[in-house]
Amino acid sequence: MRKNHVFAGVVLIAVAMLAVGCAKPPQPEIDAAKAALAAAEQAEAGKYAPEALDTASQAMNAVNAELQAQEAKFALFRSYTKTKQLLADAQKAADDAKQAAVEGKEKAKNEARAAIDAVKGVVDSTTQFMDNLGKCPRKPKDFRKDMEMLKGNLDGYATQVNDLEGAFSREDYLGAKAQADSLKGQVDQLMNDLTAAKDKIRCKF
Amino acid sequence: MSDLALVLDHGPATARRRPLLLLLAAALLLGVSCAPPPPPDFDGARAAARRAIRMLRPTVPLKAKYIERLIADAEIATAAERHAPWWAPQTGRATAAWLRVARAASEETAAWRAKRDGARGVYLQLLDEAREHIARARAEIREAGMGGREAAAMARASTLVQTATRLASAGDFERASDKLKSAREMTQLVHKAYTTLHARFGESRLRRQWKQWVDETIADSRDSGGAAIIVDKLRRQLLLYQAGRKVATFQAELGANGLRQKAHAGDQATPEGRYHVTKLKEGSATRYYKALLINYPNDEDRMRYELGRRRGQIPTRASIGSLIEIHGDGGQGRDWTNGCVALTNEDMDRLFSRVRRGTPVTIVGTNP
Repeated sequence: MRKNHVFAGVVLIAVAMLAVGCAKPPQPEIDAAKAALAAAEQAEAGKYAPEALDTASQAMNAVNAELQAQEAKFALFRSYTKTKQLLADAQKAADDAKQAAVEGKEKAKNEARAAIDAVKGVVDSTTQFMDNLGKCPRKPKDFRKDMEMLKGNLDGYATQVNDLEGAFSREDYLGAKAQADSLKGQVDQLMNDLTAAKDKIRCKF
Repeated sequence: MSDLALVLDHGPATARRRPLLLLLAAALLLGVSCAPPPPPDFDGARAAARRAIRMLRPTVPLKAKYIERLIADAEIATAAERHAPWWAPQTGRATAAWLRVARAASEETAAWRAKRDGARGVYLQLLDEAREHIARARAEIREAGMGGREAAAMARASTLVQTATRLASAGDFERASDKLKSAREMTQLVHKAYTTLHARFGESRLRRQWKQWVDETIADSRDSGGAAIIVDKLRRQLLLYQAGRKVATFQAELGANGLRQKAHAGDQATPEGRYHVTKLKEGSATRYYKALLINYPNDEDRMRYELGRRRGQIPTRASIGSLIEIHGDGGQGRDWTNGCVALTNEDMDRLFSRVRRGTPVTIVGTNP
């Protein structure tokens, strides 16, 4: 009778240990975290949210290290509780990186669009100003040559607006903004020259 | 028994315990000497690799990814080593992995720096060239005959240089260099127009003709003992001769397209040919300070005009033009008239006092 009790106890303990010892790596969570990191990279986090991508990569490294640590243990002593926590952190970090990338890209896009619109605005207003100046009754001889040159300058600037749209459609937001800012500075300078010309010929409009 | 013997003699119980104590001491010694060494610190390599990744990612993302993968391998090796059972030998896999990381980070960073320095060198060289070309184009664009097309090219070049400077300040030297190359193309367009404009001044046929006109004008002045005017368009000079001898040189300004040969009204070109003063104007007779009207168009101008029209080189509604003068209100430092020759008012006074109706006026591209 006593022998039977001992045998049952041993079997129970063995079953319990086997159950614990058969702990498996949380594969669905691992796959999800890897997919989230890949999605962050796909969203150009390297370009628009490099810091967040770094954090996510390091979190994933911590997960891999912990998985390795558990692998190194005797099968019966493995536990993936901490791995799951690290995976949750890595998943969150990757999602954050993706979100930051999307926001960063959107911000760059909006800034580029605003810069392009600002250039278009000043080109339009300068063209209008030049047209009005051309209608002024008093046009000294020396004014015509100046106007031809200024008109040429404006044409040169106006054609570059198309280049900006090209860069924008290629999603080169940083390049488009840099060029738009330069262009706006030039057109503003041209507007100053036209205003000076207007004052010189004492034109009113 | 001496005191020493008493001290050493611990009796039979002590003698029995002695081997046990010795065994314990040996085990302790073995345990201490065989204790695993403290895990190496890889933080330095880790931080250096992170810095390298941040540096490489914007321009060479694949290299950054490669180092990232090496870090992941090294972290795994480190974890494996740290959690290895006490009986497993330490293979140094983690140290080797981190050495690989450190070496790759160092090599890739050095390569990136070398590439960046190379790109910066190219950029700086192109920037110098572009600035030089723009300065040249700025001078060329002021030349009579350069128009809106060249001004537009110049405007583009100028914007491209500014954009390149912005890109370079953000570290993007390669794209900055591309912008500078485009700027150079634009300034070359201006330069090409400029050289085309000046090409006719080297044509031997024209130079011979201009020389002949100048020689004949001077000879006429010498023979008549009177005054004669020669305008050298390329040098922007008006030469006054008296009895075949040059007595004065004045700086002149031309039409806005003054270096071209006049073809029709409104082209702002200054005519070339042999003319004479038909009228001296001053006061209310002229809108300028003083003016000498010449007999443009002469017979040759009319023939050229008719030929141009027949060939379709002159707009059908364009007339041949008239009212070409040598007048005052000059001194603006640029070519600005509609085709006339402008002098400063002081020079106009000096000239005006020495000429009369019929004084020969010869306008040439240049005086060879």
